[in-house]
Amino acid sequence: MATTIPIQDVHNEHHADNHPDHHPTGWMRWVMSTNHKDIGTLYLWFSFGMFLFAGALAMLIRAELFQPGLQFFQPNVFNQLTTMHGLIMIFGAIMPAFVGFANWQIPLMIGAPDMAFPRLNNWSFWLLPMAGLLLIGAFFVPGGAMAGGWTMYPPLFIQGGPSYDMTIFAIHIMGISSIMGSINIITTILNMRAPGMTLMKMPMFVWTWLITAFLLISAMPVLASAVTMLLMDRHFGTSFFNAAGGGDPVMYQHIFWFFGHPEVYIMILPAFGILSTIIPTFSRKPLFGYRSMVYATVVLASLAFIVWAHHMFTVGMPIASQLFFMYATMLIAVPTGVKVFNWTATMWKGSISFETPMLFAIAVVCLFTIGGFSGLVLAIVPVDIQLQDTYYVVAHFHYVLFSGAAMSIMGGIYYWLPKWTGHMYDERLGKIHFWLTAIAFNVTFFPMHFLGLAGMPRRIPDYALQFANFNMIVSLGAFVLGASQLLFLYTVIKCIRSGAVAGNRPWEGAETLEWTLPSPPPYHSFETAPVIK
Amino acid sequence: MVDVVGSASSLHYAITGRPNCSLSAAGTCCVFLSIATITLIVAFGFFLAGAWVVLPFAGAELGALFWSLRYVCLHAGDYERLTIDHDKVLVEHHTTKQDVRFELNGYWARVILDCQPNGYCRRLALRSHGKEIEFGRFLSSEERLNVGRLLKSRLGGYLS
Amino acid sequence: MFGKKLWRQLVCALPFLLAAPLHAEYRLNLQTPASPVAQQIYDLHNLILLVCFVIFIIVFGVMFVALVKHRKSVGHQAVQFHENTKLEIVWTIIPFIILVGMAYPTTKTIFDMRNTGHPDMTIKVTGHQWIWEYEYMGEGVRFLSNLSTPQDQIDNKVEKDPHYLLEVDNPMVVPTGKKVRVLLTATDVIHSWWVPTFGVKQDAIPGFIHEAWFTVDNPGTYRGQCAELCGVRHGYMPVVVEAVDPASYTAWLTRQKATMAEAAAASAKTYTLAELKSHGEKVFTTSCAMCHQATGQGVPGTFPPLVEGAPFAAAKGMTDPIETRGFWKDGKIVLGPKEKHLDIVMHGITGTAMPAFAGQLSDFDIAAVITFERNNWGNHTGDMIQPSEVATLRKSTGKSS
Repeated sequence: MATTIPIQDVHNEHHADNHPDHHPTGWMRWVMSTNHKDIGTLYLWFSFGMFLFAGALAMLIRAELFQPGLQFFQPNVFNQLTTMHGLIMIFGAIMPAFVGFANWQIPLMIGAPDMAFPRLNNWSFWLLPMAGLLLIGAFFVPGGAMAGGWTMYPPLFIQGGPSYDMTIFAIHIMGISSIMGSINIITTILNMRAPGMTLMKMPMFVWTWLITAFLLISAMPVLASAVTMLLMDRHFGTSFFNAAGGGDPVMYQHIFWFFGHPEVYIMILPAFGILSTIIPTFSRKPLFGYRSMVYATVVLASLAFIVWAHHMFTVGMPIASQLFFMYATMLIAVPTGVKVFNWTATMWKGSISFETPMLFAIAVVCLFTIGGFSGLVLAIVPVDIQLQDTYYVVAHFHYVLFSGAAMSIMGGIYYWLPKWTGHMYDERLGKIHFWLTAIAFNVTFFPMHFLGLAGMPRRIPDYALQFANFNMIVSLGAFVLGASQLLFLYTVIKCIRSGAVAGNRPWEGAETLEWTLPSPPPYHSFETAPVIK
Repeated sequence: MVDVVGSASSLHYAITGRPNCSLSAAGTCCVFLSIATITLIVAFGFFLAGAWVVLPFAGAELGALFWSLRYVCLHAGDYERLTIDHDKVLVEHHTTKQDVRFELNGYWARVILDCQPNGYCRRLALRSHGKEIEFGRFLSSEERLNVGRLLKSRLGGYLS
Repeated sequence: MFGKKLWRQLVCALPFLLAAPLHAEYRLNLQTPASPVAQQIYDLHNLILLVCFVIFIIVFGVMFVALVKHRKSVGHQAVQFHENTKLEIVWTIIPFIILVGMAYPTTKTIFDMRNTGHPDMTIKVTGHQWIWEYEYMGEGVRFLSNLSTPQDQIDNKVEKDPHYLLEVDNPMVVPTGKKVRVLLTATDVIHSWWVPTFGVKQDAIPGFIHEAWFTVDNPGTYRGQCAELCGVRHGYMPVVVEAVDPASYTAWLTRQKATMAEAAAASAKTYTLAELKSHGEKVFTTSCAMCHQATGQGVPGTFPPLVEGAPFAAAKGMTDPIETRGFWKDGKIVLGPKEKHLDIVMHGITGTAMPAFAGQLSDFDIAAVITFERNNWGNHTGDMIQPSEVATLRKSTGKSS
């Protein structure tokens, strides 16, 4: 007798048997979850919260710098604001956001049922809020939060109070989280690809994350030991970096930037991956030069390990080192150029439409290229000597990290929101958010190039009168930029709660695997591997 | 992944479920060695420069990586097999560490399929003589539902 | 923690915010060079900017054409090409060639910048938190260079000078047309000595002595700032260099030597309380008030007050060393023994921002400022410290002035 059992029957049967339900509900679902989609969502919300918090710190910085003179904050508080803005944006907002994307997208894109180590995944996320609490809690201990700059250079760092130790522990915790996350991602990508999904058939986003995870694994022990040595110098009487005790303060900078430069790529490579997904979709054309894109990413990652000292051209290194690091740094322009050219060629003779994700992607390509050019200018040692530690550098890394990383994240969110929520976002609000962000971003950060060229140092709470005009423009831009992110929050919430039904594939040009699944994808997707042709 | 041999109507019937592993053992070694080489070169470089603290951190990290990859390798050969031979039902759970076999009487074995309102079937098990044996940890929700349906029609004959 | 106060200040500040600041400018490029190296840097930057600009226009010109012509809304159908190895090779090699072209003039400039040989004179620059110290090697001239902008201007109580935050009491003075070599080091944390118009920026790092050089052709005042985050007063550590013709320079050097001799003589005398206090106030204003404030009340949580009985709560790392020296008890400042007071001022407190002033101030300065601190605000100890006591202590600890 072969009768079909309707799902309803099965469901009733389950109740009749009265098995304990192991699937937690309510908030416990989020605490206990080992599901890659839940954890991806947690990562993204956490990073968004941190983005708003660190953004609020930036607003306070710009309020103080609106005019010369001290208006709102004493210098010690100002230094805390700039330091925590940087640390939280990097470790709390940008990195977790990309890990959130990795959690959601990598299993979907390679046809895997989940991440390789689901429970490890849960731990790597829940370490982050603890680290975040330590960082933010530092504002409330005597002496205030860490104020030595996000780079934590000794000997200044050694002078700090208890919040400095809290920062070290926070960084340790975030480092452990990152390492567990990268091991998970590497294993997932390499071991859980669906049959037929060879390495050279993987979507670019997966490729970029594979390389990013390699970078993270190589760089993280270096950061962990750098901050550990700071801790030992502070409390255990060692003299790694203490000149009076026979140590070398410059060695810290070498160690820190040996981590710090790969860190920059950790924050930008996944963004490249998102761009390489969005641009072909809305050009309705496959990605141009897939192979050379993969090779360029590998070359970029390798270069990341031999250019660290370009952050320290003014410390007085031998002329041969200056030349070596300058030439190596200039080489970065080649693979980066290849990427930009390939994106342009992808758009060429396409059938381009301008939905919000595409607007973000195009803006990122243009603005990131400006950041790349200012990077090239900064690679030139003599010019760097003039511009090191000025607002030019601030402009440069915001063009790379805000318009490069953060705006890619925004574009990626708009791109995949329909898949994640099952609803279309409000296209009109999305476009308003885009234009406000893009314009305000440039008003905020473009004049900083001029300020830096004219000689305004960074990390100062007050400035000479000749810098006043541009600073006022910058502050006004920053306030608009900050406020427009609230619109982003509103648009995302609105999309989660309501909106037109998205269907399996709302973007007609989208070709990757996740678009074969329903929107939102079932709680567990692809337990059987799909076959890739 | 699931392999089905035979059909619901035949007397001999076998279903095998196994995880999908796209990385070979040699590939795993390659991955570990390449990461270990880079990490250790860096760590030794810093060690020579006086920053020995990098070494223990690199070691701890490589330990974690080694453990994770080893875990994956050990479980690459795991499978579950359900064989039906007339009225005998044999469930085998194979892992590297142990081989577990359960024999049930097909006539009395009961199929338990645990599905949620959204259609996701997360558990398939056979119950008999007060014991419950899970089957289908390597299957997808859809496969579990299908296998469950097949088994329901084949087993628990006393019900019909 | 900021809430209410911030809003009140914001509202109060509004009228000021709307008024355009004086002396502001819209400068778009590097400052006008005053040394040959700075000129090379200026030209190099312009060249590279131009190359970048041309590439930008070409690449984004192509993209712009695609965005306009190849879009769905004008009915363009996508052409499904996705690979061209020749093209990939071309756009790998062309940027490489451009980079080699850039590297050549750059390398030349680097060699010029680093050529510190055969200087006409050498000045040792030492960074302290947050004062620059200049020592003219071989001349025996040594002085401190402090920010001279009054606190009232920083607090927006009075109108700001044209050189707000870029002015000092004692500028570095150099002769025009001479190759000046600068040796840089620091005593506490890393600073960076930067004069944009000279094209010189060099980190001053404890435990290292690095060198840089410049030649100024035209007399004038050249201004810069500390460029490496060095703590609370990082923004208040300007560099001012005055270039004068060689004759005036020699005259200035003679005057400086005379001043130094006077100061040395001053340290050999014995003073009355009033004399010590009046000189102490001057020293306090230039060397101490930036942290401990002119009121002696310090900054909560960061810089302790100097007044008996003033409450002060801070991290243990800060209060512990003060307590062991007898200057802090149960959340309040107490006035400890004068020997310990002398020790703190001369040798600083390691691990905090309190610097060692033994190397910066003369015996008279130190004696006067401690006498001032112990007999001012709410403190009435009547203690007097004479320069000779400082000199004795110096000898016993082996620290020379």
